Amino acid sequence: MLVIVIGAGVDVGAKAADKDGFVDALEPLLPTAFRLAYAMLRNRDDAEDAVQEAAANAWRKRSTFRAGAELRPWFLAIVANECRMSMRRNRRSIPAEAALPQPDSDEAAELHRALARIDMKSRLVLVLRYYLDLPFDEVGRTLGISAGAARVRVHRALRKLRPAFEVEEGPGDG
Amino acid sequence: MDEARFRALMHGAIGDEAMGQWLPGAVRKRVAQPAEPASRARVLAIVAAFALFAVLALALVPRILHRGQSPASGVATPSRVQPLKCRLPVIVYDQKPGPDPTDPLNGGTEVMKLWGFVDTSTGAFTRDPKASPTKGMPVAPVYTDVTPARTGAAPPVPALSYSPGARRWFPVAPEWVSPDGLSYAYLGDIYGKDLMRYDIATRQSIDLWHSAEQIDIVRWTARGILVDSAVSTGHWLVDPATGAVTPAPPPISPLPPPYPKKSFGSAGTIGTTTAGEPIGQAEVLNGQTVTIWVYIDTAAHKRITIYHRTGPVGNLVTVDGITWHMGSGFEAGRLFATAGGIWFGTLAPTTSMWHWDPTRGLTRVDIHLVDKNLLRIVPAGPCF
Repeated sequence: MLVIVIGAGVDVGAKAADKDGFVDALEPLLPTAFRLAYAMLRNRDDAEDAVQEAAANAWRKRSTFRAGAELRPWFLAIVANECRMSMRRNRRSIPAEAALPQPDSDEAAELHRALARIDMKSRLVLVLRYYLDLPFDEVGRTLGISAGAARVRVHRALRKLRPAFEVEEGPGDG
Repeated sequence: MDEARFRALMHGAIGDEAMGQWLPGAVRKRVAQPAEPASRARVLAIVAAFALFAVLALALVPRILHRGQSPASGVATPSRVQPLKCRLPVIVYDQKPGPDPTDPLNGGTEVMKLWGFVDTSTGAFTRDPKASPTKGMPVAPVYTDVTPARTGAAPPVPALSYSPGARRWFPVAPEWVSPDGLSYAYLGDIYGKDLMRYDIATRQSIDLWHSAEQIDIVRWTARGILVDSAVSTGHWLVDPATGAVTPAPPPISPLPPPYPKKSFGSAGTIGTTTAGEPIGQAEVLNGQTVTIWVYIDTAAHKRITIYHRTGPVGNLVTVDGITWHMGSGFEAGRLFATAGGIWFGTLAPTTSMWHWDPTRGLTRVDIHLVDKNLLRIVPAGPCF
């Protein structure tokens, strides 16, 4: 859900009057954006490319940023979309095993393989929730859905990891 | 399992890679590039027009392109890294057996075996499995290339240096890497006359200077890229942003004449970088004394002279005028100098590296390797 606002009066809107100001606003988000891209693409080079391309796309789509909204979920949504495009372009979801970092335990290695097996939507929601540690409402805003729908999507994604991983979901955070 | 445990497992499964320091700069450049929504046909037309323009421009005015580049001095902010409490990138060499396996130096050829980091406070070595080869990074074409390309077409080559700034290994000597670690210099033609700069952020090579004579890259300093002539006594500083060239004063030889420039003796590999290029000059006197000089960036063109004498009572090492009696546990080997001091490599059977700086003098760091028979450990970049 994107609302077009002309001349948005929010901080990023004011900063986004020029490209430097826009990048200044994005810069604190780049580490998180990179981690999202790396978790999705599993390749450092591809992740860095995706973040750069996402930033360029964000500039082109800046008029779709809703006044008063938070910048992070808006930008992470663009990064996630760019990861999807990157995977389609590269015709791959994971790189060669040799290029991957070595998980630090057998259990982590098993989860590593399990994440590679599940669909991209499920992987994305797990990464947002359990790797970037986002609250449900921000997971929802990143995916363009409600917090409740995000919780359901996380639940379904966790089910896809069974029987290897049975996760007891907590009360959540909204 | 509970969510906290699963969260920790996610971090273990995916890893905690941090983005390269260069990425914000690359994002800024990427956003700055003009990009309008366009149809596929329009994009193709623009690409074709641009390609035609680029071909014409390259053919008619080969140096016009780099004049308009934004400044990219490659200068880093001063580092506060403690040399004995940091991670030192190193390359470990092994030896392929040769005709005389009893001779540790001439019995075979060196081959790169391991890339990784030494914790200089403990001597622990950690291998970096992602170090080599360096994907898509240009290096000088070699004479054996049938159709040498200027950039990008060379096959992947082993990593020769590590840049903490870019968090990547590069295919050139550490002396050729910019102080901020985001670019490196290389010679782009088989004749050694084209000085090029490669930027990791844009993945683009820039033609900086076409010299009339064959040149060597001495090192990328805070003041510019210092190069010298391979055939004369010329020294130049090349501005890494504009390609502007200014003559640099030739270093004063610490040796009396008539020792000629680059008269390497039997210890010809001593004083060279990991890429085999001269870092300073090395000469052999009476078969036992080696003189090396290196450039340090603490002051403009500051030169540190190292004398290494091998005698019956062990080694005498003189660095910047102060002499140490080292026993047999020191080998000048290959070295890497930064503003803070000099790291010396090591040669089997010793597994100790040495660090020199003006306040501490020489300090030994014992390296813990599983295989102590590996031939040589070489510093491959600044400690971080």
